[in-house]
This record gives sequence, C-alpha cells and structure tokens, in this order.
Amino acid sequence: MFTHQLKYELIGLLRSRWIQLLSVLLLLLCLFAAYNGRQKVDQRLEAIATAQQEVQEGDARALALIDSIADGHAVNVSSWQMPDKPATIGNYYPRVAYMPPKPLALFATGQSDMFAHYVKPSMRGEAMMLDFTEMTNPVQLLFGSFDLAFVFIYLLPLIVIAFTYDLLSREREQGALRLIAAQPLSVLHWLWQKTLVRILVLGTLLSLALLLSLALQGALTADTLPDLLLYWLLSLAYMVFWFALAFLINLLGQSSSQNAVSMLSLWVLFVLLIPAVVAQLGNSLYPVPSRAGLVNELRLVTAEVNEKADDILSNFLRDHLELASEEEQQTGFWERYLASQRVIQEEIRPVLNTYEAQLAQQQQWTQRGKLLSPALLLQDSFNELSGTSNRHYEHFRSEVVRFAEDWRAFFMPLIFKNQAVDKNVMAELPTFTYTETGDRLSGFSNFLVILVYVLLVVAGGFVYFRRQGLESVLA
Amino acid sequence: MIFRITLKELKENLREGRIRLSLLIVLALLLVSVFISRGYYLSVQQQHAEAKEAARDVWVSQDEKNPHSAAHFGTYAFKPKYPLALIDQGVDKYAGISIYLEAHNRNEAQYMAAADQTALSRFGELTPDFILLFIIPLLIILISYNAFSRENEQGTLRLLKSQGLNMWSLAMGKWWSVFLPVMLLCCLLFGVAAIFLGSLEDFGTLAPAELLIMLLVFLLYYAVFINLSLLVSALSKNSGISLVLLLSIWILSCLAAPKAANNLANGLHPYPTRMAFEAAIAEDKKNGLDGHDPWNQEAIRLEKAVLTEYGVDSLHQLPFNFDGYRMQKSEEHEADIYFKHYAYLREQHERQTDIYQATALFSPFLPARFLSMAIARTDYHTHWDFADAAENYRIQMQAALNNDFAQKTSYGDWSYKADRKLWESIPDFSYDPPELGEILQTNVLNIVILLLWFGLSLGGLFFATSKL
Amino acid sequence: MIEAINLSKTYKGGTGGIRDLNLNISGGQIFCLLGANGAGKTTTINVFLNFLQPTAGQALINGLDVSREGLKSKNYLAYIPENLQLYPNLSGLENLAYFSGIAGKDYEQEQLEEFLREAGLQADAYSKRTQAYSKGMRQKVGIAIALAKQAKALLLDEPTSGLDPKASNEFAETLSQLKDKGVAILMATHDLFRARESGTHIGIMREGRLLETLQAGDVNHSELEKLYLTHMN
Repeated sequence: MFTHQLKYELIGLLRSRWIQLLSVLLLLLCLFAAYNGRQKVDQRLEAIATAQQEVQEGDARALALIDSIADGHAVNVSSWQMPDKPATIGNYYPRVAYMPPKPLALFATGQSDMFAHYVKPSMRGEAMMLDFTEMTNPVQLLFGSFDLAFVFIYLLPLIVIAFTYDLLSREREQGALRLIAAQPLSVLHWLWQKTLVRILVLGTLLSLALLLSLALQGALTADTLPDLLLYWLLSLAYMVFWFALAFLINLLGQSSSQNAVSMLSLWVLFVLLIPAVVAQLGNSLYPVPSRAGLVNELRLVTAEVNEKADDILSNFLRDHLELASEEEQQTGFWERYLASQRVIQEEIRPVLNTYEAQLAQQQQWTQRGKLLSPALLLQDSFNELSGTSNRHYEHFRSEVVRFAEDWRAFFMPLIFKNQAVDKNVMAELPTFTYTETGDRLSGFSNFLVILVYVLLVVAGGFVYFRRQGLESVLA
Repeated sequence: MIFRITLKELKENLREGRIRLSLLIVLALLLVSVFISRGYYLSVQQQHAEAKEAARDVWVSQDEKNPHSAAHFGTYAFKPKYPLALIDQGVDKYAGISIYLEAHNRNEAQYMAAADQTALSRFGELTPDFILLFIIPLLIILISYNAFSRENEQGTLRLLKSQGLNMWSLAMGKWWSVFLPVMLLCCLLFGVAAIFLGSLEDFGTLAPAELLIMLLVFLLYYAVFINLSLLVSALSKNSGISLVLLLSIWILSCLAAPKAANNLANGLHPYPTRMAFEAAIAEDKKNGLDGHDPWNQEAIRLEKAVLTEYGVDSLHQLPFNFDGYRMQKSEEHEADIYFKHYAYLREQHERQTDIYQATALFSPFLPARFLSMAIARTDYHTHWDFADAAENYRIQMQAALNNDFAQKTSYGDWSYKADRKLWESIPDFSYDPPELGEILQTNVLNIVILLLWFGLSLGGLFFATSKL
Repeated sequence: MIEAINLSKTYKGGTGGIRDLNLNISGGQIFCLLGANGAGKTTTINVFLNFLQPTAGQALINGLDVSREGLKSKNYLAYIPENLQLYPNLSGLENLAYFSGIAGKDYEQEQLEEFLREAGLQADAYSKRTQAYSKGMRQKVGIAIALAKQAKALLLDEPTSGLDPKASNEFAETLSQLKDKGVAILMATHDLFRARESGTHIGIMREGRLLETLQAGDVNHSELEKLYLTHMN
C-alpha cells in the first residue's frame, strides 16, 4: 500500500513545477550559504597565518640583533628595545595565541563574528582584561550572517510549509478527499504516508544540497564525517518536526490558506518569538552588571597598588626569594610592575567574578530555555559543532589567560635576576597550544529532544483524529 | 466610496478571530517591549552617569604628579544613550560603551554589551524595533494577503464590478483598512514612548519633531508592505500562493537581503583584525617620533629646528621646557598616525555602507532600519562621531597637560608636580550627538530609496488592480 | 433592453468564444440561453458585463454600447453570478447594504429588509453571518441585491444549479414577479425544466453560435429535450 502511494505521489511531485522550483531554490541557498561560511573561515585562517609569519620574522630579527650584540657590534636600537633584555622579548615579541577553526566552522558563524581568534599576550596588560572582541562594523553583528545555520533554522521550515500547507486541504477542496475516504483505508494513515513521501523527497533533496555545497567548499573529509553526521541528523530531525506540525495542522480541517496562516504563525512562534522571549528573560533575570562600573574599579585598584609599588615589591621578593638577584636588586620598572600585577589581579578578581557568575547564570538559563524551541536546540548544536559558541570563546579566553600567566612566569626570573636573552632562551620560549573541546554529547541529546517534539506532535495528530473523527477533516 | 469600502473591510477584518487575536498579540508585545526597553534604558543611563561621575572624580582627585604621568593615567569617555534609543536600540548592543583616553594611544571603544550575552541574543530580542521592523509587516501580510484573492474566490469581485465599482477605489478602500489599525498601533507605541520620554530629566533635548519623523519612517515602511501585499494578492491565482509569495518577500527583505549584504560587504571590504590594525599602527609609530627617548631621529631634527628658531645653542636656554614641547609634538605625530589608520577604517566603513545601500534596492527593510537607527542616534555613524569626539578631546587634553609641563618648568626639571588645579582645569568630556538636520542629510539616500520603494510599489498596485 | 448585434468574441486559440450572436430581449421577457459547457453562455454574459471586450459587433444595455460606456451601462443592469459566496463575516443584511451602497443606492434598514423578504429569505436569517447560509439562502441575498438595484436588465448565470426543488420553485416565483415588473432577463442555464417553465424565450447555443431561438410556449418539455439533444449532436 505504501509503495503504491509512494509511486503515485512521487510522480505527482516530480512533475510539479512548484517542487522543481523549491528544489532549485534550496540548492542555491545552500551553495550560497556554504560559500559565505567558507569565506569567513578563510579570512580567519589568513589572519592567523599572517600573525604567525610576523612572529617568525620578528624572532629572526631579534636573533640577528642578539648575535650582533654578542659579537660586540653597536646596534641602532633604543635601550628599551634591546632584544637581549628579557623585558623586551616579553613585551615586544609575543607569541600568537590562536584558536583554529574547526573543520566544519563554515556551517555556523555563531559568535565568531564578534570575537577575535588570535591575540598576542605580552607581559603588559592584565591578560584577563584583554578585550577579546574583534574590530568590526557593528551593523554586521546586527544583521548576522547568511550561513548554512540561517538557511536551516529559518528558511528550511518555510520550504517545508510551502511543501505541505495544502496537503489535505487541497484534496478536500478539489473533491478528491471524499473519494479517498470512500475507499477501504484509514484517512489518517493515508495522510501520514503522504507526509512520509514528502519527508523522503525533501530529506533527499536537503541531504544532496548539503553534501554538494560542503563538498564544493572542501569540507567533506574523513575527520569531518562524525560531526557532519550529527549536523545531518539534527537538520533532518528539525525538518521532520515541521512536517509533523504540517500533518497536525492539516488534520484540523481548515482551508489551504488557513493552514498556511497557522503554520506561519507557528514559524513566527518557534523561530522568532520564543527565542526573543527566552533571551529577554535571561537578560532580565540575570543581567550582567555594566562594565562601565568595572573600569573605574580597576583604575582605583591600580592606582592604589601603584602607590605602594615599592612595598609590594619588597613583600613580593620576600615571598619569592628565588627571584632575588644576587646583585643589588634593581628596582626597575618591570620588577615593580610584575609584582604589582599579581596584587591587582587578586584585588580585581572578586569584581570580575560577579560578571562571570551572572554570565554563567545566563548560560545556564539558555541551556534550560533552549528546550522550549527546536530552533534554539538547533542553533545551540550548530554553534557547538562549528566551534563558534560562547563556550568555545570562553574556553579560548581561559587558555589565553593561562598562557599569558605562563609567559609572564617564564620571564619573571629572567627579569628579576637580570639575565640576558640569548639563542637558547629564544628557543625555549613558551608556545601556545589550543586544546580542542568537543562535545558531541550535547548535540546528540538535542537531537533526541527534537525527536521528542516530533513524537508529541504526531501523537497529538493521531489523538485529535481519533477524537474528532473523519467528519472534521472532510467538512 | 473609498470610505464606505474601508469601513466594511475593517468590520470584516475585526470579526475575523485570527486577525483580532494577532492584533492583540502584537499590541501586547509592543507594550511589553516598551516597558522592558524603558527599564533597560534607565538602568544603563544611570550606570553611565555614575561611571562618568566616578571617572571624573578619579581624575580630579589624583595625586600631584607630573602632567605627563597624568596623561598616561588618563580618563574615560562614556557614550551616552540618547532617549530615542528607547524605541530603537540599533547597534548599541554591538558597539563599545567606553573609550580609555590616554597618552600615545587611541583606543577603541570597549565592552560591547553583546559580548556579555549568550548566543541566544543573536536571534533578536523583545525590543520595540524588533516588533516594529519584523513583526508588524508580518501582521500586514496576515491581514491582507487574501484581500483580492478571496474576493475572487468568493465570487464577490464580479458582483462588485457589476455594481459599477472602480477597482482602484476598491484597492484604496482595502489599503486604508489595513493602514488604519497599523497606524493606530504605531501611534499608541510612540505615544507611550513619548510619555516615558517626557518623564525623563533630559527630555528637554528631545524635540517632538524627531519622534514624529521616526513615526513617519515606520509608517512609510508599512505603506510599502501594504502596497506589496495588495499587489501580490491582486495578481495571485489563489490565496495560498499569495501568502507564500508575500512571506518570501518578507524573508528576502528582512532577513536574507541584510545578511547577504553583510557577507558581500565583509568579503569585498573587510575590516582588518584588531591585532593587525594595532600592529600596523605600532609599525608606523616605530618609524615616527618617540616621546621617551631623546635618541630618536625625528627628535634630533626637531631639536635643531627649535634651537635655530629661537636662536639659542642649548635646550636650557629655551623659554620653555623642551621635554614637554617634544612630548607634545610626539603626541601630535602619533595622533596623525592614528588619524591615517582610522581614515582607512572609515573608508572601509563607507564602502560597506555603499553595499548596504545598493542592497536596499532589493529590500525596503534596509533603508527603514538605517533611518530609524540614525534618528535614534544608535547607528554606527553616531558611534564614529562619538569616537571622533573622544579623540579630539583626548588630543586637547594631552596638549593641555604637555603644554603645562612645557610652560611651567625648564629643561631637565622633572621634579615638577601639577596639582588638582590643573586636573580640574581640563573640562569633563561631554558629547552631543548630531542634530536631526545633519542626520537627515547624511541619510538622504535612504530616504530617497524608501520613497522610491513606496512609489514603485504603489505603481505596481495600480497596474495590478487594472488587471482585475 | 438587452441587445446583441452580430456580437462576436474570439480567443487567440480559436476555441471558445461566441460568433455572430443576435439577441433582442425587451422588458417583460425572460430569455433562457441553453447549451453545453463551453458553448459560450458565460462568455455572452461576461461580454454584457464588460468583463470581456467583443471582437466584433455590439452589446447594448438600454441602448448603451457596453464596451464604450461600460460604467454607465452598469447602472441599468443587475447580475447574479454562479456560485456566489458573499462576505462570510457579514450578515445577509450587511452584505446587501454594502453592495447596494457600492451601486450608489443607500437604503434604510426597513427597505433592505423588504428586499430580502421579497427575495424570499426568512426573517430570522437577516442578521446571521452568511458563512452559515445554505446555497439557496445565499442566492436569495443575490436576488435581493438585484432587486435593490432596481435595474431594468438582469443577467443570471446558472441560477438554479445546486438548488433543491423548493428553492428552485421560490426562485421561479421571484423571476416571474420581476418579469411582471417589466425587467428584461437573460438567463444562462442547463436547467431545461426551468427554462421551459419560467422562460418566455429559449435560445440553444453550440460552439459559440445561437443555433435556434423559439418561444417557450411553442414546445412542451419532452419536445424541448429532443430539440436540444438534436442540436447537440
């Protein structure tokens, strides 16, 4: 029975101008979106590569100068730029601390347009205060990106709606429904099978469009396969959710255009309104205090600490005898600075903690709130898989802070002991390695939640039909 | 006749449960969003005011020190929120709120609010501008997608024609029946906003004219959508197709076109990364004047020039402290370097803006968005204006400090410590956003495009009704 | 009142349309146009309504050429379309008021109710929304609209299709009253029975041509049927 219906439905669908148009549209959208995503990733890679090259060139210059100084030549460089001084290397020859894009980063821009993907932490500047936001036209951030995530979250449901809003109503309006209802089969099952055929057709089209666009952008490789599978499953589940809604709405027995209106209202609800409301609630319940207050706090603390710089330094050295130089302690700028930085960090930590605590609360709220809409679930997973979620940037930030600490710690003994920098020291400079955080589990659990949504809606449809009977559908 | 038709259409629409419900929901959303927006605005204003006061306090009560040390200590410029931000928050969430003003460096605005939020907020928030720009056009589509197609399907269109009704009159009657409730909603929103704004202390700066012009922008935007809805409805074979088409137009205008413009603008005229930008500036600085080290080439040239100008042999003989003078010159040179680099940035910004304006030919949403933001002073242009004002202030502040050192001491005297009098003599930073006239002038192209959309869509509607 | 002089309307494909139609319907006459689907009955009516432009000949309403004086000619005619659905959220009374107002005739409520009564609609339905009306009830509103127009010419497209015998009979009564008032009526229909019963003249159309015109009284029902079928073959 299913194969019979399948055959005729397919013939009807494939001959339909409408369907052909929708398929082409879907393909074009995916291709365009993937191209955009690739462009952004390329920009990111290029920026990182350029930065790394600059570091290499800088190092080469430094080594050359160090050699000259070692050989006793005079060099035309200001004293505070002498590369044999540890403070100079520490400040003016930083390393690139970068977060490489994940292989499928082109899928979802997420938060990547807001944050920088590489920084060069020096000894100066409180690392935890480093501004990680990228320099960009804020209009770009306001409008967002035309990436695959946009196509799937926003546009795919509309394509499904266009595909299904008159599934049953058209048959009724054309008079064919009564004819079918007069046959020995359940109208409910008949409708469900009709829906299934379309799920198959659109699902296939979607998968092909996705594969083609990713392949063209070179994102189909062995190591992307597991993530790709998850993307694919999530997208299909989301698509099926909208088909399920269409199934339910059609059962209500309204006219075609009433169906379309109902489905579109649901689209507005799940894709626009619920996310906006959840976001707003998050902001209202757990508002992050204004950073405006933070700047003054920081300055006050810095000013206080700088006043007691000498005392701090002596206290510091008492606690860190290993750093005391054998020669007379040079109470130079850097020694005082480094010691003071420690104290400032400790003082400012509690203030920063309040920001982070509120942000963490918001994140938690988001994790709970996302359950209210499949669109939210999808966005969450896409960002995770693409490595462009808030969590990724926070992780990157903490890695950078840790590296900045290591960097500073590396130079501290050198500065305090007034050691010179030579080839060996240069070779031992700390390098940044980014440890990837992967979380496929949350993606999978989001997938399951969407399936639950699907089941609930379909079950709702069946229950409604059982209760209302055939009349409401045929009316 | 048109009035009669409008009345009947209104009666019909208001009896439609779906439309009534939607109107109520939109009204509720608008009111909620205005309340939330007001709360946000008030809290941010307060925070900024407090921070501004605290920053000033920190500045004037700093210890006695060398003016150049005070220059390094610096102060902060906070970006004020303009009252109309209550209605349209524009790009404020994505632009920094404070700029650190210190010697030798022009800093970018820090702490964009969005960086402290989750990815959820990228979906859009429940703000008045979200409802006004996205939801109300949907409401328009919902009310009018079948305006003509249902008359056709019901058979009433033929009857109307046989009664001698002119189709254009019918179109106008329907047009007003959609416009009036929408206009009412808007006026209500703006009325409530006006009441809120009137209760603010600094309302005096806000002219009712601005509120009115903003209202007009939105009404024009809605007029375009009504034209498009009726036009598509008149040309469509059935209501279902009409709805799908109109929705596609909405998606294209409000979501797809802006995003595509983004990608295009970013691809063709990208901004440099922050690191690269700073590196380029550092590079230029290295080759330029250096305020701390007298062994720099430029400094030597300057020294010679000044000595010659004053006809003396040594710096000690100058009537001012050369160190102070040289530091000021260095500061000016660095400011020039920044100016050059920021000019490039501004160029990229303008090229990107050109792309947005070109894309506006595909989307009435874009000019309306930009106009609304501009009038609310929450657009990128205002942010640039603020940043430039802060930079000018910084330059003047540096000059005042360095010149004080140059005038009050003689060469080699580093023991000089300025006190509170000097700190207080430097006025607090205050920023006034551009005037309405200036804003309208800058945005004249957006106004023209929106009017073009209105004219063309009205013409299209005329053409479509003639085909009925 | 309703006149067609060598009226032709041809379409680009060559199919459909009407050719060399000649009609002259005066007040007090009911002309029933019979024919298969696609014979040109609705096209004829559409031309008189100026929904279509004739390719040759003239269509006149009250002596006015409809293609030249379309709006003016509409003052003299009333029309009841096939399958009229009305505005579902408005009541029968409100629908009537609206359509009458469009035609430039503003009536008081009592007058409107009188028209509805004349058209045969039951009083308790006047204020109910038309989405609850049966086909017969909707058609009665259509008749009321035509009555309210007080026009001298009436065009009807398949008025009895889908009506039960009682409603059909009520319709016939109204038609007769209109005829007695001197209205010229052109009715396109499949209903041979009604044509013979209510009509004064009958015309049989095929492929756009009026094959035969006769007086309704000259044939009985079975003769009419035979005649019709003969022309159809």
